[in-house]
Amino acid sequence: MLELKNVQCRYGRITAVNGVSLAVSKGELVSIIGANGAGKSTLFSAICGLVTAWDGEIRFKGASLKGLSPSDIVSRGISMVPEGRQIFAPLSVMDNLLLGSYCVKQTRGARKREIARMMELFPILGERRDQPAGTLSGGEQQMLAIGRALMAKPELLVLDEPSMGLAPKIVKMIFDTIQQLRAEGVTIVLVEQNAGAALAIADRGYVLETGKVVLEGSAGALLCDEGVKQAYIGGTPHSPPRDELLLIGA
Amino acid sequence: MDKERVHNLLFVGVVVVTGVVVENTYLLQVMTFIGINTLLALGLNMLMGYAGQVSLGHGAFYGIGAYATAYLSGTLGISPWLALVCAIFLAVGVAFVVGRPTLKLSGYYLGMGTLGFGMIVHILFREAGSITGGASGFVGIPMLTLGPLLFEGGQSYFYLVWAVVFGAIFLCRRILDSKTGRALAAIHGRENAAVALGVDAHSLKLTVFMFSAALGAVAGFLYAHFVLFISPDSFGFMASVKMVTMVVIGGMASVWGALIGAVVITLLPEVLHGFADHEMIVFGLILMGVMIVMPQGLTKGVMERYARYKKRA
Repeated sequence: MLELKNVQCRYGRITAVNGVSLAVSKGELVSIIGANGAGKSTLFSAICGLVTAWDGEIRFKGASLKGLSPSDIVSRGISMVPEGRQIFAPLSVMDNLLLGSYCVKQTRGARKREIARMMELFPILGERRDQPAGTLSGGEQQMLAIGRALMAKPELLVLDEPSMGLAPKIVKMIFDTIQQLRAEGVTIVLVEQNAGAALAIADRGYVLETGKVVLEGSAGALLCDEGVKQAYIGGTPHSPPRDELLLIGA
Repeated sequence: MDKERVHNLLFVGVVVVTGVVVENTYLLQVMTFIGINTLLALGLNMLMGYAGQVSLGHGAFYGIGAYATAYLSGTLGISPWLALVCAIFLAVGVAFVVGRPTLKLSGYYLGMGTLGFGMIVHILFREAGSITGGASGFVGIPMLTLGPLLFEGGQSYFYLVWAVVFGAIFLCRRILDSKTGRALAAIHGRENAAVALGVDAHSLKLTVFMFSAALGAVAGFLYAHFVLFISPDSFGFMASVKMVTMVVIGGMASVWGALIGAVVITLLPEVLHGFADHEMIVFGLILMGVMIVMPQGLTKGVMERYARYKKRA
């Protein structure tokens, strides 16, 4: 469904993403993990059209996304949940949700049904529908950000650090919701620093370091990998099934 | 009936009754100017208050509206109503050409860009003497007529201007209550997040810039056919600053704020005539005082204070 081939992104002379290739199949939940400054958010921005890829190719459902604006990309079925929630604080919860369907042409009835679906998925948003979004707690804001992205009825949902700044209990709730969405058939790319939680719910994962994919494989294998554990999870030594993983550049 | 509808009806009622009750020509004239200034503030408020873009050159669109109708109806003799359509198209066209590159800027840079544009247009008004009458002004603007109706100042012009103001308020409200209004609020708050949702921020800003230019041109048209004589100084830098002041004093992102701002900025100089040479000092001090006590503008400031008072009582 989504395919990145040798994607490079630069900010002036600094290369933030350096030749990343990855693929996401329909219905999959793929996690991209890495430390601060690894290039995860730049990669997220490149997929969503917020940053132009200097080189390489990004294809969605077989068509290139090159030169497309973020609004075109949303219209083609990719929705994003940006880092730090980025909700519109003075607007009501309802207005935030409606903004999610800005690019979607739908009847008033269809929009109402979508809103009702979001309220069902996140009941707390229903209770707070007329409240300014800025008055919601961090966890509620994250639910709103996800709900807002889902309003566009995406085929691919890209989330950037949904666990950032949230309490472990809330993180668990958010990740449960992501799993539920995946079960409903939404393809998901999860860009996360919280490697343990991200890999625990993913099918596959990619490890990004200094703008490059250094490791990729099934989420289970990555979770057991000694290097991943020491660098991103901090767990106890465990038998490393490295043969299941593809070491890039090794 | 909901609260908003009651407010609207009350507002229309007050204006209609005022037109009937007030017979003093001077007072009617001041209230007509309030209406014209409300149109200017409404347009700029859409740009500044809702889209979050500063323009220090909006006097130019006001002038384009006034000079276009003056030249077309006064010199060429075409119907002023046709001239109004041409004036709007001209202002919107200029806004498109200027806004396309300028609105890619933001903050101070956008302010400087629009300031430069306003100054250039002001110089053009002064220097293109064969069309505009130059620094000495344009004389010979015809009065407005509509069938048997002659709008010759006083009550008839008062109602004409306020009818246009009602229309503009209605239009602004419709825009703000639509998905475009929500998108405007979104790009004002978090442009990047809005873009990530698929909002085309640049074209939306450009559209609002053109809309506010159109309202400025309509205000210019009404001004020209009201005073029947125009000169470049009415549309220079100070006119642009006055518009910004109306928006800020009344309260940004509020349709009623535009009206309150226009009332205050039009009435204050009239009320302060008694201070003679010190008029501008007192004017400035009052504006400073309002901004210190109610930085969010008079409308929101008074409403917040009233809500606090009600809560305490």
